[in-house]
Amino acid sequence: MGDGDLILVADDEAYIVRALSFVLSKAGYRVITAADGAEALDRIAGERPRVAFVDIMMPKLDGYEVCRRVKSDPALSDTHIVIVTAKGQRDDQTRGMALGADEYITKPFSPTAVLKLVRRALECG
Amino acid sequence: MRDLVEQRETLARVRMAGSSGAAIVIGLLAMGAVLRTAFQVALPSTVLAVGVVLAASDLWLAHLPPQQSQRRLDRINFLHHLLDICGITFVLQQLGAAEWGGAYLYLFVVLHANIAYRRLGAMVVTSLCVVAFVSLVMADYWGLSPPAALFPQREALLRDPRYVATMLLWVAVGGLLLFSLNVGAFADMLRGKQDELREANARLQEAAERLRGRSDELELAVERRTQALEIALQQLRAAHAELTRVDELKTSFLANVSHELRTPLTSIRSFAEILLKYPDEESDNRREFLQIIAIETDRLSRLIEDVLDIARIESGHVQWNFSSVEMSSLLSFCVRSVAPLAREKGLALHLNVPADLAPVRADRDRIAQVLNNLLGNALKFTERGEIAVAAAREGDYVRVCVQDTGPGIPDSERAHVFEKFHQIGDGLTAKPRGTGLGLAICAEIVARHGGAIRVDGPPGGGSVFSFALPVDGAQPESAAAPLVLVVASDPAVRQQHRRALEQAAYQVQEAQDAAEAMRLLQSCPVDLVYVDAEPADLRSLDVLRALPTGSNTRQVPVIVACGMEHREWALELGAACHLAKPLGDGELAAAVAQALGARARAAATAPAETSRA
Repeated sequence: MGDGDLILVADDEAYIVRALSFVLSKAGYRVITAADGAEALDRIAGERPRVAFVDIMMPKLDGYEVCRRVKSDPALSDTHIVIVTAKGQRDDQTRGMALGADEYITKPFSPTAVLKLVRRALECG
Repeated sequence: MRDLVEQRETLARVRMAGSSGAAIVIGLLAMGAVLRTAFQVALPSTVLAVGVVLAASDLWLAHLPPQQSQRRLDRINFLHHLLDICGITFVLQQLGAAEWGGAYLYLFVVLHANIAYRRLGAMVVTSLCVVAFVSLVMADYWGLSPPAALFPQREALLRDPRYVATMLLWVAVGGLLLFSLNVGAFADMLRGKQDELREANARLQEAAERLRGRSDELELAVERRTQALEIALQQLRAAHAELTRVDELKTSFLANVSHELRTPLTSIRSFAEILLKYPDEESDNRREFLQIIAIETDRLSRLIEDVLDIARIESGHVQWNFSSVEMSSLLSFCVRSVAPLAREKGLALHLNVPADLAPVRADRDRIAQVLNNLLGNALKFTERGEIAVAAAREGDYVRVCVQDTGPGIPDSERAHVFEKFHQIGDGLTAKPRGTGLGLAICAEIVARHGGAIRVDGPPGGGSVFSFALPVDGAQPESAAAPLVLVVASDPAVRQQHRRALEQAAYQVQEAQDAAEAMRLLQSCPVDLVYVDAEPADLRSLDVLRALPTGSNTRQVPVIVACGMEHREWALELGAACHLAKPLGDGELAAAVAQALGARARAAATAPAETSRA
């Protein structure tokens, strides 16, 4: 079980944020949220979560842009970025990976899969 | 035609053969007379008879009437030559000698055959002559010639130098005569051929001239065709660009639909899994999660409905039922159905429809769908104040407005609000989200009615959504027929256009040039300007430049008739439409009707003054 590691959930869909937050906090992680890309970037820079779930389709800055900025900033680049795609198409995954995302996950996803992913990410360090 | 010429040629030849033949035979008979008188040699009467027959036949040939068929001429020719050969052979046989004259006569026949015939005939006659000559010589050699009156004296005659001299003289003269006749005949033939050639040459030159003229025409036609093709190509490119754009829109629509559908699915699945995974979770949370599942299921089903609806409308698979619709009853029905919700929220509802409002041509259910959507949005986003629904006549249309005192829509968003999947109020994450397709569907429905939906921000705040529907069986409200200003330098041309337009029930004013046109436009409100521009004088197109400057003339459409080479320019200057000269019947009236109709439609959906209920 997670030992209080900070995880960011960024999505403009309130219910998805709620579901992810619930599952992650139930597993013992601390969760911070963001409703758009700009807020996500601010909170990553400000509060330094270890893992950040970033939805592709968000207002202000989309997931790809957040990923690119985080990964190109040496201070932030060790944040484990998980791209959340809704289309399940190869192009999105390859694009995300090309930008430096560490993982991807497609909607609809199961919370259990999310937990496994987080554990794996944290083990990698 | 060729046959006629051939016939005439053959006729000429035959006549020639006849005349020269007659001459020779008569010469022979004359010779006979000389022999008798000078040398007391009596030619056998049979010989004389044959000679006369030959001469007669030749004379007849020489005067053959025209209008003989080719076959008849050929047959006459052939028979004549046969007769010649037989006659000569008989005579020579009677005279018992193949004298030089004999060979000579055969030669004559052969030569004439060559003049008179072209191919087989000449060969046949030649062969016959040779055969006859050879057989005569053999007969003489074998002593088969009958003893004739000439025979006993022949030996004596041959020793007579006068006889020999006469014979030689005859041969010489006859030969010369023959020669000259044949040469003459050949010369005639050659001249004829030369004339033919000259004629053919003249015809060739003529043809070459015509060809040159034709090639010029073709060049021009090719140029025009190329121009037309270029225009068509441009249109094709534009159409292709449009198709590509639409295709891209469709692809992005699919991508959006996919995303939008998966989002509520994700919520439903996540919370269902959560509930399964944490069965002992506190009941408040459990209730919340179940509610979310219920809400998102609803949302998903509404989304699917809307997506199918808009897909159906766009692909044309919807059955539209247009009928005459009384807006007052429809509007009051819709307003009444949202009254309870409005009351709950403490919002005032107002309805303002004039009692005598004309019925519109519309699909009642679909317009109700639009109204319900607009009212639903108004209710959702207005916290306090009022919602007002109004309808008013605007020309040939009825404009319907739904106004609210909500937060309004910022200018930047107003253009996008009718796009698919655009959620109004993106920042309001706390509110349950709509499908994002409601306004897009409204826009489609209104478009199918020939109108356009728009949103404005009235001065007091809030938003007003409005759209226009065509009045049912609309007669032009303006009692006066539209006034068309015809600009053309030629009075006859103006008269012609006046007649065409007045026949189509338009009023007509005339102007000679751009200056006069502008003067008239200052004082007289015109509905359309028609410019008939001569290639030499394009200054009348200055009207196009001057019109946009006048406040009352800015909206006036201009139709231009000029050559294709100035089409692009006229359109660039702002002509509504270009007609190519010469105009077809009724083409002008049709173009005027179309331009005026387009302007009416544009006016109906142009910015309208917003009216508070």
